[in-house]
Amino acid sequence: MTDAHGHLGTSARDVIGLSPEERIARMQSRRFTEYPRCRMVLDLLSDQVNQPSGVVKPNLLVWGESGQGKSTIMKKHLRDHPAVFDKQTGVRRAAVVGLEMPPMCDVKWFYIKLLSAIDAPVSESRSSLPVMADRVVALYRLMGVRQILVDEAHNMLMGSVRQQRMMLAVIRNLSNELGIPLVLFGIQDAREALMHDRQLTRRFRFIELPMWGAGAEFQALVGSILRSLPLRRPSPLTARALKTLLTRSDGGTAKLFETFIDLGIDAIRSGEERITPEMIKDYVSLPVLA
Amino acid sequence: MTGGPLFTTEPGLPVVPLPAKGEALNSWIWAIARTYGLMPKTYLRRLGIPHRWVTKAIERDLVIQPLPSVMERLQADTGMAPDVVWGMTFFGLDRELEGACRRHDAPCSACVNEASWWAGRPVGLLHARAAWRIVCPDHLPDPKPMEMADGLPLAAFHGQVRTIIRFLDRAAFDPRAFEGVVGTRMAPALTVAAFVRFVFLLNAYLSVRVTEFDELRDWAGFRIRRAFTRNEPGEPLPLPPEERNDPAISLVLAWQLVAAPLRTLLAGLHTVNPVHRKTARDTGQLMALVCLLLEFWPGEMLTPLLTRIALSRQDWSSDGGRTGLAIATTAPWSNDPSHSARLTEAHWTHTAWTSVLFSDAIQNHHTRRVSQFPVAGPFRGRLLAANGQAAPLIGEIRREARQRGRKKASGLGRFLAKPAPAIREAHAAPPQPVSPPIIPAHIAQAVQFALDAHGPLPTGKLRARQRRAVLRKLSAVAVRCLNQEAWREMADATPHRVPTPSRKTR
Repeated sequence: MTDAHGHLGTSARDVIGLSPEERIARMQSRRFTEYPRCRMVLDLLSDQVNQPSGVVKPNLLVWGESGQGKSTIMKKHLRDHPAVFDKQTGVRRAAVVGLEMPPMCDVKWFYIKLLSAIDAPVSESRSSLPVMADRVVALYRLMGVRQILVDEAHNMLMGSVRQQRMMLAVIRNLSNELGIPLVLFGIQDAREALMHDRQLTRRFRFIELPMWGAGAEFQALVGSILRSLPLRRPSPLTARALKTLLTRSDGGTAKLFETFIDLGIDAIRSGEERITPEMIKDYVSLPVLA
Repeated sequence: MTGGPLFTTEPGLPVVPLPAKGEALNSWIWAIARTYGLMPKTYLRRLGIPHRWVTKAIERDLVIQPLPSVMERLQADTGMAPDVVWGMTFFGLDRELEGACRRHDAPCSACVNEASWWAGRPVGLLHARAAWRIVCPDHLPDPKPMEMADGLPLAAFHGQVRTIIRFLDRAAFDPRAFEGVVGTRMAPALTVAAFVRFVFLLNAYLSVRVTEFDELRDWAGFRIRRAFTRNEPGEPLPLPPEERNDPAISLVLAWQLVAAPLRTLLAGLHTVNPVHRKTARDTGQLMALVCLLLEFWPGEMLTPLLTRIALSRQDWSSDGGRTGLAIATTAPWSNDPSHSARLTEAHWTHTAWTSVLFSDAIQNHHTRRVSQFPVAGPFRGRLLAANGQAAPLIGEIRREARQRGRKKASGLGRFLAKPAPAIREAHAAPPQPVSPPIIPAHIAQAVQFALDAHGPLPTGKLRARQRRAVLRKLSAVAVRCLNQEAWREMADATPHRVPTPSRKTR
């Protein structure tokens, strides 16, 4: 006897018995779908966290165009390493802390973000930078933070050259003081910003999340997405349909996910319960929203 | 600290410094603020305490009568169990003690050092504000040789001091605690505040030496070293500081006088010389003690000395008769070799007490209703028996006194009691009708003249400089007009007419 839902992944199988409305809602609230490149980055991040202290760990810059899933990977990594409160010592142990680079290249604002990321109260009045830096280091050490993730790292370019240099120095200092790796997520500009500092360039490893092109990796991604969609029938997609999708999404991950969700919703609403090449053709022929 | 879990909820803060044993709330809040590099004022604001409430008294305000809203926020921030958080305050303290605790701040340096060393940060202890902690029970000083006879078990004596302090720790929060010590009749007369006042009174006016300590009964025997004297107008003079006892000794004496007054008076507290060598000095000491206790003790505590049965002489031995009370108070030592001496001393003391109580000297000293001692009597009123006939009246007086005390909110609540200062806003209040000021006619005329002379005033918005120029011009014209009027009046009044040059300039 063959499995009727053998084409689905575990998460999709769990919800396949639900009503169409509920399945649509689940699809729309999708948080994460794993694919090989993403898994590679996540494994790299996890390796960094799990390495014993004392080992020199290089910092990482995960860069790629907008919509390539950098923030999604960061959120997934944060979810995988939740903070746990230690009742014996009164300290919340957080191996990984994530924050977003402030929209301006402002060192003080960056320190405030670092403090807010761990829910530490921040003084509303004027407090000096050394005091804030000292508090950040002390609190992060107390909490046993082993990795700091910074999203939108390219925002550090939003300032004068002097401000940018200061920010790079702060990043370097933070990494040195705490002895933990920083993982920056950003677009290509972030990479260029880091290139300004020779010391930082030496300490960083760069991982690119490239735009998708036709090939086995793209097919693996599409396969992952299809397995995560709670459709009752398998979706037979041709090479031509895949190429059409690639062209439509411009090689962007987020756009590709959006397309498949729209197609999945259409499939459930129409009762087809699968995505066909014709549906893709029809979808592509629709005018793109500006 | 309670035996339950320290944390009951997930805290809002990532790092919560653990409170040290016996730490005061203010000290712990300061530690939290320091952990995050904040000024205490800033962190207090997060707890809902506005800046204007943060005065010099904030430390004691947090400890005595803390606001429930502040405590709730603190608990949410730290996840600490409510018992632990409230345990760092004097919540539930006897209201009479609050005032004393507000003024009291005497930390034991050894305790503070220990707690700070363990916590790895500066720690302020709650008991530093406990007015009833006359001495630190954990770091008791060794008494001086003049205060304690050689060979007495010091550890047992210190154990007794610790027991008393522990009792006071409980009694400060439990108004019925004294019932177990003095019985239900006398208990209403005794509070921790009253007892502490009594200890300080004894310390200031009576110096004693511990002559014995019964480890089995935790009972100390005292001999008076020096009692207070009086000055010319008859006011009692406190002992010089170097003559005073260590507060721990006065504490034990006061405790015995309260817990077993008759036995202490007759068999535990003797004058300086033994019974067969009593002198006028002994009589003087006894007189001073009587005066002291008459001033401050409830009358009921001394009446058993004067009852018929207590005074009745009994043929007990060949030495002669002894008073019934002397025999009763020395009964615990009936099998002791020292019993005979104790009984003789007790008999002498009882006889002397009764004779002093009926003497003219006492009458003369106590004709006035107001005490001559500079401190208020520790026991409120004299007729304090709760189950006696006066009980309803006393209860009513007490209730009234409590109500009077509660009219004024204390702690941070005092800020809530008075309304916040109004925010000044332009045109916030409607204009109130005001009576127009009476302007003298000549000034009104001068102003009118100045306005006429100036011509139409500018209607547009003027710069400050232009405004000043217009005002200068107007005032110059008005002054000139007033001068002219003045000259004219002078000219009208005198035959010699003074020329009015300003008229031309008009």
